Amino acid sequence: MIALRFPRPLRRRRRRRAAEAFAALAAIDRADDDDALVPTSPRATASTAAASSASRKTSPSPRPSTAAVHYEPRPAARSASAPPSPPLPASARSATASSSPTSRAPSPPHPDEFKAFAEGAVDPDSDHGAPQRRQLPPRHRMTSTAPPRPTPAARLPQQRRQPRHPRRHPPLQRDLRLLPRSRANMVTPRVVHTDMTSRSPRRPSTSSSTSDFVTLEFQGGEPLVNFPVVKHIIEYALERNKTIGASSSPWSPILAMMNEDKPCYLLDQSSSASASIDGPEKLHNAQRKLLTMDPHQQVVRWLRRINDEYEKAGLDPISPPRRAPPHVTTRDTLPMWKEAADTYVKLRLPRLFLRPSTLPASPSARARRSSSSRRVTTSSTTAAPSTT
Amino acid sequence: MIGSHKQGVEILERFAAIFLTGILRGEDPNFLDVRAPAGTGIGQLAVNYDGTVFTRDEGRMLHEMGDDNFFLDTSTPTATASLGQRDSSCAAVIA
Repeated sequence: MIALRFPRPLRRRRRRRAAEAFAALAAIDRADDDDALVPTSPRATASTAAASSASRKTSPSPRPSTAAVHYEPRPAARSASAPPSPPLPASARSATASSSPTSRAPSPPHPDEFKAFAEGAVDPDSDHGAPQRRQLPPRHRMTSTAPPRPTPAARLPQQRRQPRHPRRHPPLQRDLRLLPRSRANMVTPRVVHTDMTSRSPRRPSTSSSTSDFVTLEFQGGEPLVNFPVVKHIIEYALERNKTIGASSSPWSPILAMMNEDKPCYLLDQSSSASASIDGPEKLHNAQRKLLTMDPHQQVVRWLRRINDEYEKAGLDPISPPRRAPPHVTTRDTLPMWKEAADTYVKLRLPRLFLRPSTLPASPSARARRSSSSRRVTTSSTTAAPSTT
Repeated sequence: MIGSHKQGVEILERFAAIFLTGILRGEDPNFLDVRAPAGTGIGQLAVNYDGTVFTRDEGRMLHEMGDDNFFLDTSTPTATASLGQRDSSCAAVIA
């Protein structure tokens, strides 16, 4: 019963507002019959706003009764998909018939015509406002030239041609990847100008994200080289975690700068660590350069150590936030596919994440690839590959 | 890997699992790289050591090679939401 009582007062209020707008506009037209192009009085502005609001609520046809009524293309464009309005009253129809569409001078507004417009009772197929429409600037003529929007029935076959999943994704999780150490790795340990300072990552930081949960991921180079900044960002994230959700996961490609304290610190701070394993020792050492010449031994040792720490803490080593170790797949990986998978099985790493190397080949590598048929790995030509 | 799995060894390739989740189960794995619109720039940012911001890490790599198509901003205090409205982000999202 309540739902049935709502529309009637609303419709009555709308008609009252339309009548008020019509009366105000008629008064202005009588006063400024010669020059009605620009509204000068506040009442004219009020009547214009009332007419615009009435046109948004209803389904008008582009029929400004005077040139002082601002024409809004947006609600008029929506009118094509709106249900057809009720037929024009007989008085308004007579007013339409009396206006000559071929005359270049704007015809005086007919009271019934504007009343029908304000009430949303204008027939969309009528020729209302043709003289005034021709005087409008071109940017306001969208409705006269825009094709009508297809009806829902006409849009249906088009929607069926779309993919099966209509792309209604879960909410995006903000993934902020920080590179505290860009290029430097153990091959070039003296490069220090690529270090991130503690002030750098705060700028586009978690505090300005629109997401409810932010994942901070440290990549390199070797982020552990600049571990003070990693610690600073983790502690800052934990501080911000009181208001938003944030987790951090230093992903060290080679775990070369890991020591006994860092896994415990990361575990205490609810962070995780991961590293890339590119396959068996021979393949991994060919793609990851380290001065000590034992990158595979280092990463295997510390991955086992980290997993042990997680198991001691009662955490599942493979569950979030732990990431599966990314496997940087190069051309040299392809003949050793079986050994690469067996490496993960031997290390008790049940998750494998094959990622093709995204590091572009150096010019020398491209030259070698084009000049000879010898296989060239894309990551062995420069520093440790930084992939996602 | 399938053979090892049949023998009782727990091994899973995550990239295949992401696609098979969408193909077989009809669920959205919400993987930023393969969703449409893409999540780069709006769900993911890469902050370089000097504070420069890119849509993702690969954009940073291209920047090192002289291609600034995925460069978003320098170390100005810019809101993340406005970074997602840059031309680079919009183009990458709808690509």
